[in-house]
Amino acid sequence: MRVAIIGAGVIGLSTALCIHEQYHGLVPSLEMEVYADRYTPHTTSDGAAGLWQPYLSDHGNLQETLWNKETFDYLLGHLGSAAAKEMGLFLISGYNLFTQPVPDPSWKNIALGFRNLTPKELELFPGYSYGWFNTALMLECRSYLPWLTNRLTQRGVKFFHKKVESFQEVSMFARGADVVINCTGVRAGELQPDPELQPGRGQVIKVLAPWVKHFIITHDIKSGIYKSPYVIPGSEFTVLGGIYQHGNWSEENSAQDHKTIWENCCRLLPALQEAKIVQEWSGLRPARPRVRLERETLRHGHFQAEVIHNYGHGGFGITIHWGCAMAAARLFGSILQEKKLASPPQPRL
Amino acid sequence: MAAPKVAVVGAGVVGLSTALCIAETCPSCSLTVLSDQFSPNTTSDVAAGMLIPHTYPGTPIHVQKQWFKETFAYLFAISNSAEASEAGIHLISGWQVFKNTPKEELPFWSDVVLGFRLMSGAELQKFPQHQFGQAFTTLKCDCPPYLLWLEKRLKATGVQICTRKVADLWELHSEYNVVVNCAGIGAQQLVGDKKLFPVRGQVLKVHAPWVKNFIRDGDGLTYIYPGIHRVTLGGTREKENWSLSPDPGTTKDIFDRCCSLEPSLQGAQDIKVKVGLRPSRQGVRLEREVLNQGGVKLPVVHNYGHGAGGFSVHRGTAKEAARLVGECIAALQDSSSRAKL
Repeated sequence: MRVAIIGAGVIGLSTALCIHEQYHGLVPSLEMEVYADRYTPHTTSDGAAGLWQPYLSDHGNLQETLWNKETFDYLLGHLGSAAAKEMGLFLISGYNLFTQPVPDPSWKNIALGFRNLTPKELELFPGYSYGWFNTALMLECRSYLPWLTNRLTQRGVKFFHKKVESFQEVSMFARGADVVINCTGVRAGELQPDPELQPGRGQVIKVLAPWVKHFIITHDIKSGIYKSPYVIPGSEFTVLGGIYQHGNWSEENSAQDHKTIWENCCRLLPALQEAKIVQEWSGLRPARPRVRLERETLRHGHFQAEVIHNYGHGGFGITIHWGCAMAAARLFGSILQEKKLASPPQPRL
Repeated sequence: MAAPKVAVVGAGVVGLSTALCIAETCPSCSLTVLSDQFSPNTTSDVAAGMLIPHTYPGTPIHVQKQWFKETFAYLFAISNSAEASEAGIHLISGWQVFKNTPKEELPFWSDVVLGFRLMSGAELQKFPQHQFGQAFTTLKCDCPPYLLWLEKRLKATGVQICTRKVADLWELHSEYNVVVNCAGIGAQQLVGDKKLFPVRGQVLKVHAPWVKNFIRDGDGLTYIYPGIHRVTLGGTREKENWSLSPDPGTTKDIFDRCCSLEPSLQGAQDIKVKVGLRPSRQGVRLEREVLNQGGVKLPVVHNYGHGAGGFSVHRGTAKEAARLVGECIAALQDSSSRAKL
């Protein structure tokens, strides 16, 4: 049974690990390969600050809220382990700020210690009259992706540095994959057109500001998500952001966006003016009205391959990744059932 | 009196902040800070500088609360300004956890810190040996930055800062009109205060930049305080122990206790060990005294004995000390004008 994962960002690698952990014991013949043209530290996931936080509203999409919860609980369970530091996983508290009262988010009981801000706390943030405080998690992909890669390598999963041009390419030839997992993120449209998938371009400035211990996310309800300044302290750098440009495919840093981010963040936290700028980065969030997580059977002549799509996680990929990986693993399980391949290990005679 | 000459003895957080308050309230004063130790070699430099008050049995609670409120408000304004990183002042959130529910669930300072509330069951799960906890946001003064920032502001107002070991306050009587005693643990020898005693504290300062929240055991012995560049791990409270040498057994014990609160600290790097002697007393000695030898008088303002709570109340006690200095100067001016009659 050959499985090909296309894409090596947080979605590709975590889905690979989840499936391998769950099914390797049941399917001794399981062979897994990862194909990607970009590996850490050059994936979209690497550029993200790594804060676990879903969007403000799930728009009634309870499925996604559940996946967010499963991810949070899974990561929380790993916090006390020796692996946490290697994974780039740690607790962080912080602020969400608004210019008007808003309903509580879908994730208020998932994060820890969620509460509204007191008037004295709001004095810290002139111009904002309402807000939340909570404790959440950081998962830094420049540590997490190498950690996932190590776990997969230990399990014998093979990696190929290759741009896959079609599903047929990995599935249709003589020793092709039986199952293809499509974790291609923003460029999924190159494998199969998907008008609902659009880039949500973001730009960030990474600075040295080690005195900042809280995340601060501001919101401008009218403009939309990520268009308002945010400050997210990591284990080494602090990420300044606040750019979301729907439909913009450019991965070049923009001087105008730099100015917007810098001025807005310095207004929010005046001490940032003393921060040293270390790096600038642009990336494309794989934006979609909802995550595409479903099976598809591809037929080409005599060949047939099962594809599991797992892409379109927008700006909340890290937040939702493990819930989606487990859902993809369940779809994989149903494929095995159909092929009657999932059998308990036979006693050796 | 043209320019009253005031000497402040001591250059820790109490000495420097007291000098600054005097400079602010008495611009005509000629002010000098005298100390044999400066940052990074003061007791203050060892402390984490967390604004979590220590309760003094010998001082009324409403007074302690006022000192804390004033200190908190002062530092809150700095943390909100462009000077925050230079001054080493930053906000920090975290948890104080108790193995057994304390008698006092709401400490006197709970409405001064930000967002104080009791921890939820879900939050307490992270601390399996603890059954009760408080979550809040407070401020931290990192040293040396804070002391260096105070020194910089003092010099900008024309205050003289001199290295000098003062063996006896009386030796200053001919050069200064008023002396302010902020000698901390040094006051034991300087003024022979037998009510002042050291409480030895050993701490580790480690590199663990992924730790963003503070964790404190309510017993006050085990704590994790993330600073700008290092995390302070503590600690000990050894009464009457004057040793400034780090003890290796204690280092291991502190590290183990902190790792059991925060397992990821196992990965901490570059462990530095420091020792400080908390200048402890039943109550802070904050009062006037007039030294008298052969008819010659020297007004003294004492401001020492802050024990484990120096940072938490420093600005409040500095302001009170400055007020007392003002009283001393007024009394001197009064008596000198009467002498002219």
